[in-house]
Amino acid sequence: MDTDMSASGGGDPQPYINEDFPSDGNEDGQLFESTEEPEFEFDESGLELAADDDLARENSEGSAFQSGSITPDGLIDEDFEKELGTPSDGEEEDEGEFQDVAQHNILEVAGDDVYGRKVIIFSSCKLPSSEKLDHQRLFLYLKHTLDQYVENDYVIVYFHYGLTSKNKPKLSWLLQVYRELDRKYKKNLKALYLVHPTRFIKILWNVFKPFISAKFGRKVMYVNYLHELKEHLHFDQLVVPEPVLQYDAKQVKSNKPPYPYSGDRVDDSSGAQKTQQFGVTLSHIRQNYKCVIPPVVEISVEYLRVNALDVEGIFRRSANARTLKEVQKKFNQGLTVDFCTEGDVHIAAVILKTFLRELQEPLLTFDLYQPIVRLHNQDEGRQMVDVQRMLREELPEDNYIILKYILQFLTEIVAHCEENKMTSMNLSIVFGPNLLWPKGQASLSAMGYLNNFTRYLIDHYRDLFES
Amino acid sequence: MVNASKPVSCTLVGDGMVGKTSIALSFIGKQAEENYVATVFENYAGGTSVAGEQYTVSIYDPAGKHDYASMRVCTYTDCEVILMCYNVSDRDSFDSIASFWLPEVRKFRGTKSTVILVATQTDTRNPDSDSSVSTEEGEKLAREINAGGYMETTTQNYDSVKTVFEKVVTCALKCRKKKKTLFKKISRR
Repeated sequence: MDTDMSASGGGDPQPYINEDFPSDGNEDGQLFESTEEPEFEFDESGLELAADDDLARENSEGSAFQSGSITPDGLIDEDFEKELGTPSDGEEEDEGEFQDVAQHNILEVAGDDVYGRKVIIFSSCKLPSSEKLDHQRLFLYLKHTLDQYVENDYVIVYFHYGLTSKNKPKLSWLLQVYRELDRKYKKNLKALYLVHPTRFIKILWNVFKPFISAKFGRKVMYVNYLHELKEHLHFDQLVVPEPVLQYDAKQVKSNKPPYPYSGDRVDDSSGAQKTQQFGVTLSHIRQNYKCVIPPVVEISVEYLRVNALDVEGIFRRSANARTLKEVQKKFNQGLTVDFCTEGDVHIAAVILKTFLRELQEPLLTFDLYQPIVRLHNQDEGRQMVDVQRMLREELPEDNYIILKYILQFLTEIVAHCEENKMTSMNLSIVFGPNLLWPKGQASLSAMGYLNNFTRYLIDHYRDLFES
Repeated sequence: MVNASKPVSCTLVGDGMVGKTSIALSFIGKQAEENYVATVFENYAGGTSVAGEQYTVSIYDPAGKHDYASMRVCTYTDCEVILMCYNVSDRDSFDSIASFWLPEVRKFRGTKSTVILVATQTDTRNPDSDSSVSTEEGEKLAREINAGGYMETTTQNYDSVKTVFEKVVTCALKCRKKKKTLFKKISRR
């Protein structure tokens, strides 16, 4: 490997190293000590200013020291000196020395994760082609950036998408990185998130796993979809490169889970057609159709009211999947659908449920999820007051109107439960998960509470909506 | 009485109202309830004997509504055999096997999952009706989806229910054995 290294990187980086660091480039420990100290002296005049800057930055980023590190006092002091010294210098240095590498923004620091650890992002899609970028320089830059953070725990988010044969670094380079980043880098790295890993990476990883320490192996986590990162990181702080976002949107779309994760659709209106009714937001429909109650809801409810009140198992039965898709498509194209021609009353019922389920945000809104789940341990008397307040004050007005419209219809169905066998209990089981769902995975018990709540809404419709 | 080894676990899937809960209830010896309530999630356990050995079969019975997809996901990962049910007199439920259930199971379990196709309510089958699904069609679908077996059952006949779950046990054991021999082959080297 050594021969490889000198062969590939011997030409360019060597002179550069000689210029800036008098010590031998191969002995890293020395190399970095020697960079730090002279800078300290040089920068004396600007140190105060730099320190202020740094403090301000620290505060704005939510301070690594407050949140994460449980270091003894002495250590913090030590760290602080270092922080004062290096990053400020580093920034100035970046301007000059690493500018050619830094301008690509391959490495970015994105605040803290939920456990208070620094997050460093490496986006491969920003790597320029191998001819333009000297990987030896990239390594030095990588090391230089990491140096500012490795004293504390940190995590790396690695966006794999965008790595092509053109810009991928040599394997020898990777090995070099692995070897030369010594223990302190590895020890404080708490997690490595591999975003959008390819099969090749997984295989490669499995092959190398036996040779890499088990401890490190545990730190590597695959992230197939961006929204999985939300569990660990403050997603808003992440600077996700545009191509990765697009790729993720495509992935999510092609493998879309049957239950809607709102939020991971990057933006709702850009991709959706104007006439789209399924899988969008209520405001989107309102904007384009100029009515509060979405046409699909109105048409199916009107139809069901006439044709389905006494149909056994209405809303419980499934419908033919193919017909369903066609009807859905028609609605999305803004056409009017006449359910009479479809021949099956259950189509309309399933369409109504599907519409609610595919909304980007549930009709009862994410904000109300927790309060509603918590309702169950309240006594009867307070429940009524609380639910009333929630519906009238916290639920957006449009949602309230649509909810009222649908619930009123559901009470009509319950009134015919002799014939259709759909009691409020039955209806709540089929409607509960369509009116409200959490952002992540729902638990079984929460599901029960949600269904109870739905039943409560149907049973007390009069008191809740008409008093 | 009961084999001490790990109980065989299976999950019932299929459209709403095809009678998944009824099969499970009938298997554990309870009368199918007449109260017509949709299932959210139930878990049953019953015993059966295959080749003279007693096995416990634990049955997951998640909701068949497409609305509850997020909850079914977790049951997929920790069961050995999947029972895909359709009602022989409801063609839509038959169609959804290929258009909805199989893709869902494949997605969360991979292609190598053990699936048994179960035709329910065979007592209601009416050969003259268009919507009724014949045995041949069922067998054909079972071959197409590479199922571990095709069974017909009705809760009117306890034996037909019992054979379904005996099939579950044999399928699960076959699957376990396959894994074991593969492991042995590798470890022997």
